[in-house]
Amino acid sequence: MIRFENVSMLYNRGPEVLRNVNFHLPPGSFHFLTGASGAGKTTLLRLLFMSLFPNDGNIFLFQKNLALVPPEERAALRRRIGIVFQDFRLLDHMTTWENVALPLRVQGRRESDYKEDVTELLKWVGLGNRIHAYPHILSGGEKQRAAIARAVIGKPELLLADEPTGNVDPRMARRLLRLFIELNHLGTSVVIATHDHDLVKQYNAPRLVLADGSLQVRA
Amino acid sequence: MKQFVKTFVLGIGEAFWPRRQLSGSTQIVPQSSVSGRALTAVISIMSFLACLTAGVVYMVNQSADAWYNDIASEVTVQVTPGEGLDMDKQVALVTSILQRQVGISQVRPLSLAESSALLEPWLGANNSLLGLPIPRLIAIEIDRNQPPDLSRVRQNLAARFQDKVLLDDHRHWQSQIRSLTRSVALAGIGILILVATATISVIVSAARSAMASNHEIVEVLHFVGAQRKFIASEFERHFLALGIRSGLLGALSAGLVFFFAPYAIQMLGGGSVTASEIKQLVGSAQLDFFGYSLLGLIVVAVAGICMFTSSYWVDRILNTEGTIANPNYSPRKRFGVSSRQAGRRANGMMSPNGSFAKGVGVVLKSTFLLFLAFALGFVIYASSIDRNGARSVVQADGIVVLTGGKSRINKALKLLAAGKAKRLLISGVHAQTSVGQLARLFPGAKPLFNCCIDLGRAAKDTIGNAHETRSWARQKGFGSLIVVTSSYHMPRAIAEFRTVMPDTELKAYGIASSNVDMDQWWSDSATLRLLFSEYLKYIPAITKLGFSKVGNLLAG
Ligand SMILES: Nc1ncnc2c1ncn2[C@@H]1O[C@H](COP(=O)(O)OP(=O)(O)OP(=O)(O)O)[C@@H](O)[C@H]1O
Ligand SMILES: [Mg+2]
Repeated sequence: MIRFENVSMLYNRGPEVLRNVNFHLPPGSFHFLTGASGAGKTTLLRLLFMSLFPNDGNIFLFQKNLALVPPEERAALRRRIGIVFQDFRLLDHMTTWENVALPLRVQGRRESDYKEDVTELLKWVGLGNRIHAYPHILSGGEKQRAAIARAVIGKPELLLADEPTGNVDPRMARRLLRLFIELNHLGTSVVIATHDHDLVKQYNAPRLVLADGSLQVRA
Repeated sequence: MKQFVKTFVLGIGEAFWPRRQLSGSTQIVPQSSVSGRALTAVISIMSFLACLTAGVVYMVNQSADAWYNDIASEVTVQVTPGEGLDMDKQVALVTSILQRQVGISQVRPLSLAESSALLEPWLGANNSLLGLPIPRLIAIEIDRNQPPDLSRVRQNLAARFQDKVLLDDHRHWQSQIRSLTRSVALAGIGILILVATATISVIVSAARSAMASNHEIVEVLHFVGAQRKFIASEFERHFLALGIRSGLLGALSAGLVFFFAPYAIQMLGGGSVTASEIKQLVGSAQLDFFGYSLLGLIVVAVAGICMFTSSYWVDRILNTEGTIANPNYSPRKRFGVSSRQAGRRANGMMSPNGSFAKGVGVVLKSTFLLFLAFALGFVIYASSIDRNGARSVVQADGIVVLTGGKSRINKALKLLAAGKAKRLLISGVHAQTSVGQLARLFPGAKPLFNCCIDLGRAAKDTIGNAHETRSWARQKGFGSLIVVTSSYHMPRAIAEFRTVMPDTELKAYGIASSNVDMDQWWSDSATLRLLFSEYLKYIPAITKLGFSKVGNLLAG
């Protein structure tokens, strides 16, 4: 599913954020990605959805070398990935409902086909009464839940979540974790970047630990 | 293709019904982010200026063509009176011959009264003239679709009537009018190109900054799996609508200006400018159907430019995605797959500010380059001037010397005495100077003054010299001339002469002046000043020559 081979990454002329990273995640797995703030968690996730490219080494995703995927095929690959951004990246001129429906809409699907699904998912993440609200009036936690809903609405093969519970209370955090676990049971590979130790403790899953540019896998 | 048609239809729909939404949901790209007031205003104004320029250039060209056609399709035949000739009969005979000629659409003999009216400015309105033998004119209009062989007609008439019937097709005027109209057309096209360039760059940079503000939307759309085509069409539609709307606004305003211009001119002009004078200058001052379609064409171009700029910038954003962190890195290049991406290396998005700074930079740079070219041109000009004057001269029909120094005339007289040419024209002689006075200045050349020297008194500057020389050379039938003047003045003199007499062979005979030090022109301030002022006058002269050459070339 995901394979890193000798991946090194640095920004401009800065220090190396990742140094010679090697690992492999099989399909259908569930991993936490941890590390101190600034360790490179977000960087690693960005490498996975082609928002960044490594300075050295190869990244394979769905058996494809990402460096060789031409720009016009990136969209097709991304439809198989769900992403929760640390800073949400909701579109301000669209309502919550429209933001969540966006991945389906850009695929050219008809609104009548997914109308119910979107509404149902929004209720599940506790945004049933926020359907017509615009992002700028939502609270941090509400935005986060909307971002999660947008990531999972397309039933992706791989879910990348960057700090998905950073802005919600522990109860909601557990609820969201359940959503991820459920998705994983349905076949989706999940990678959750977090430094929420409580969350990590609640579910027995292997951890990818980033420190000083290198990565270790701990069961 | 299907996608393109869809974008097109939606864009046009949006242009006229901006608020209407086809589906119930919010637009993926908010229309308001693309068609802000400032952007619409900028593009409208530029379209307006482009339409105005195009319309005026078109009208001027139209009326220039009309002048030319008028004069070219008009031919006159002159019937000269003779002993014992019945003029009325003669005119009727010639008229009937001309009417039988193929390619002549209209023959109109001028009555006696009309012919004498033409002579009135010279002879005065005097009834006693009626008794005099006055040449009679016949106006002919030529069928421009199948013009007759005029020289054959002329020869036939001359042979049949023993040179008493002359045909004049204004050939001389035709070529002058032609080169004038060509220059006007060229100048118009030049201005049009400038305005078009300005319009395009303003629209492109306006559209670009609108795209820059939508950077986030493009990225998010791509991250959630939207394809390039999908994203591009969302933007293209809005930009097409923007282009159509602002283009139409500009074109309609320009159209109104053209429509009301004649009335406005009449109202404002009062007594000083009459409508008919304006009409002569720019035709009817109103656009015809084709002129208005030209404005329509500009609207289409503006809309197209808007649309393609947005599409280009969607590509730019998508192709530089991911490389922003590492400006020097290109994944495909690293694997030797393609070097294409190297060129698209991310500089990130260009911010509106950045593009403005860039524009200023371009202006500064081009100013600097222009200045450099100007300075370099001067150095080349100054060092290319002949230092010692010409040594050997070949034979020519005539010599022309431009006044401005005794040594010039002396040299010219020597050339004439050496038999290098048949006659000498001293051009630019003061109006009060007589031949005798001049002859006394050059005692050895008295016989030459008596036989072979002409004085030109009309010229006051180099251009005047050129015109004076042309009429002299024409009159004497000279096809080659030796031009005598100071070395530093020679480049400009030759340029002006060439412009006026493109077909005459010119041979330069430069004379070194004692008051200019050509060997060290850079160190002597008087020389420097003289050369610089010459250079300043030389640039327009050489430009004029270039234009007239291109004009002649186009005129075939
Ligand atoms: N666009 C960028 N340009 C330059 N440096 C960057 C950029 N993005 C991140 N960095 C640097 O790279 C390092 C890793 O950043 P990253 O965002 O991956 O950390 P993180 O593990 O996600 O941190 P956090 O837990 O705080 O989100 C940091 O030192 C950061 O300053
Ligand atoms: Mg992070």
